[in-house]
Amino acid sequence: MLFVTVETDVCEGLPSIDMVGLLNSEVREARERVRTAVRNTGIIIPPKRITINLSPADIRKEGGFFDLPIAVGILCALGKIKSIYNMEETVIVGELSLDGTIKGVRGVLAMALCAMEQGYKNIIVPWDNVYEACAVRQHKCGKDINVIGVRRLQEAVDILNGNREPEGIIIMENKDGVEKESQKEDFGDMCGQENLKRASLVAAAGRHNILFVGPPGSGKTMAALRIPSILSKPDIDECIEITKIHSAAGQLKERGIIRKRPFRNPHHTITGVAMAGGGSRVTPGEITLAHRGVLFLDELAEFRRETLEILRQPLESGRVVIVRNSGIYVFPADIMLVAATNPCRCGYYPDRNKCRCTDRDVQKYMGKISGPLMSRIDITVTSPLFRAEDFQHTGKKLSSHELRKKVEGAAVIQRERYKGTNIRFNSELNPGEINKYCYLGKNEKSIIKEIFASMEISARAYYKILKTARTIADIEGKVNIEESHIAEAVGYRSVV
Amino acid sequence: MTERECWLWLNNVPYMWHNKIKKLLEAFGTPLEIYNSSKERLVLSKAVSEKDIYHITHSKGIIDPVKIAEDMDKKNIKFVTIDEEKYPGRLKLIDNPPYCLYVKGKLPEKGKAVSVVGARNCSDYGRNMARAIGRKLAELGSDVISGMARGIDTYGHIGALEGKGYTYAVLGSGVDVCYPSENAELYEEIVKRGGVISEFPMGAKPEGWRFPQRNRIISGLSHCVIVVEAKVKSGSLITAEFALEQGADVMAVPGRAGDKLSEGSNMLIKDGAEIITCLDDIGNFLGMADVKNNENLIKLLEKDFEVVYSETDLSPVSIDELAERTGMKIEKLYEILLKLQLRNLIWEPVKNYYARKL
Repeated sequence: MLFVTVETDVCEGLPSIDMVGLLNSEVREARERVRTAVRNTGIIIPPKRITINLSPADIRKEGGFFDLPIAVGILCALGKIKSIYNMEETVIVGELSLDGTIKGVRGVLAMALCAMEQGYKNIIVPWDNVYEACAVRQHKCGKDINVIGVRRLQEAVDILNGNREPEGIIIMENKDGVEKESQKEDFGDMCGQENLKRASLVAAAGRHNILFVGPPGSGKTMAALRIPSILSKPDIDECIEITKIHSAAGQLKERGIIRKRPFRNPHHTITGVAMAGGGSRVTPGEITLAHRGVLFLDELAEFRRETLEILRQPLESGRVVIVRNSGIYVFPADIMLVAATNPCRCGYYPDRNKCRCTDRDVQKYMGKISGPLMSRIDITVTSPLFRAEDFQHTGKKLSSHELRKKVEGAAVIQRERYKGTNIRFNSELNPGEINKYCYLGKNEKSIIKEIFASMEISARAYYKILKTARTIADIEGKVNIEESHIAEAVGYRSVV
Repeated sequence: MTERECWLWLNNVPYMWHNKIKKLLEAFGTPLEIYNSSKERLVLSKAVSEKDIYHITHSKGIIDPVKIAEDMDKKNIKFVTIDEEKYPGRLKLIDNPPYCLYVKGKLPEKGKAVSVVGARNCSDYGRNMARAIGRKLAELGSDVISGMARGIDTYGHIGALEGKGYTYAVLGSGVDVCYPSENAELYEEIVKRGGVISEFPMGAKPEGWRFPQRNRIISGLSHCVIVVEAKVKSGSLITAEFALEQGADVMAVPGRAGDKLSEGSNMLIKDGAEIITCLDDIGNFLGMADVKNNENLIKLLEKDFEVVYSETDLSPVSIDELAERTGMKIEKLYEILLKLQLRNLIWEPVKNYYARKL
């Protein structure tokens, strides 16, 4: 990221304010906003020729956050501000309202982070964004930055002149709030559907992509919504990453930093651009907003084919590359894909009393999900129709809290095993690595041979089974993959 | 023109079908006579409508039986008329025997023949049963006859082929038209191990009205009709009705009460059809000796395995339900289910649904 320098020159001549530096229209309009805001703050701009340059000159400037730096620039040039801060080391962002109020802008976290890393000492941000900006101070990079939040232009002028102390920022480590939030959805609420729960646990532990197949009302969506509650809690760096993205997309609802994994649930009518990111002013898409969290695609078979195919590259590489004539944009997209679909158009297959689809219809419906996408989904699991007995299920139900413990336990084992490599989770193993890390004993080899002989299993399915079996072994705390782990993984293989 | 060529011609006249041919034959006696009759004689006979007379008189020059015969030779399709020796004897005895048969492959021989019919949109239970019955029949040495339709028919044929038996498909289209098209592979297999039969001329499309017609041939060729899954209003029940008229036996596979797909077959049982509760019922009922005894693997099972196996069914049961019934953990169940599958005792017709194998 590059910081734009605002240069201001005031000289004699015909009174005007000129702005140069390859500006987009919203930046050019800053002139009127700044002029009015400054006047309404009670400062008179003398009839002089003012020239403002935003450098570097060859990069297009977009966005509404140049208002405040331009205003401060003008006031400095006019001598109204004699800053006690070194302006060379200060980053200023903010949009001005005509009455001099400073409004929040998007992307502040990313800017603050960058400013800190590049060695700037101060950052002045709108008060609305101050908590977000303060979050960077938790990022341990050995540097620090002084965050100043301002509400009005006058306040900014006073602070810069040293006539007023910056308002203290109280960061509440609101841990309770976070906990409550994540407990809203709990696997403990789900009656029955043990298969879905178990598969969700395995998927979460190895960060495998998962597909739920089942009739309407069989708990697919319910399980998907609960998956974030069993994923390991994000560490501070992950939190900052998540917040950065949401801040850049203008989707930050929390005050301060986001402390839970995102759960994105786009409707199936979503376009390719909304999924991957793009637009005239390139913004991140759903797949990036779900970074470090869950992207849930309900009714997978109803999504447009092109939209689904877009997922292929990001699922493989964990990032999405968007090429537009304005440049190449790389957005992070490290997601866990959770998808749900009905088994057929009417939704009730294989219950022949309800389902009237022919076998061909069923195949056609599932066939909408392309092979390449299916090959990136390690676990497929079917949920049967919900029955009245499930409500009466009295057995002990595993809560999200307990499941998360298992997931975190498996994560520790994986971290240990993959120390010194790029791998974090079992799902990221490639065939060569599978052979290295998924050791099979004699019995296990023979059962694999039998499975090959009696079931139609491709090489690709074989590797998926091994990866999943590895995760199951990790959950159980076993060093080596055992027969039962393979058997369970076989139960999760995809059949399309 | 020879008698055979006349039959071939008559059979290929547009809009001509069994009932019309029957009326014409009542008036004129032989197809040669029909061919030689003038338009006036045809009108006078009042056997068929004016439109049909038009088709008959105009087709004389256009439809060339010699050419059709050549074409059939090329495609390896045989043509058998009712007067010929090769015509299946059983079929002659029914009410409205087809006058001509087109055959790709061969016609059923003298031995036992049993047809397996049922719903197109069958359940996995029906599919499983049809396949097992087809296989059992083949093992008993009986021919298996069906209509190659989707669903039960298809699996009846598949079962017979698996049992290394002979199987015959009677089509509601021309013998050279494979309908449904996804059965192309099965069609070829049937031609090799049996034959594909139709009374309709080559190239005839699978139109709805033809199917009840062909059903009388299915039952006519069989000593016994087995209905696996059928709704109350279905072609399979028509076949069963034909069978009763023609004096063939009817057996039916029961379904659950209230199960729409089995309402028809259950009704048959209520009306006196022989019930099939296990595969041995078929051999016993038909008086056919079992060639080999079914191996009993189940005795050798460990306790956990037996618990799970006993909870499975011929119709598929979901893993959740099995977990509920056995009280076992999902991860344990998966292991047992896989091993039962590897021992060929159960199968997984639909993902995460398991059914007993017969």
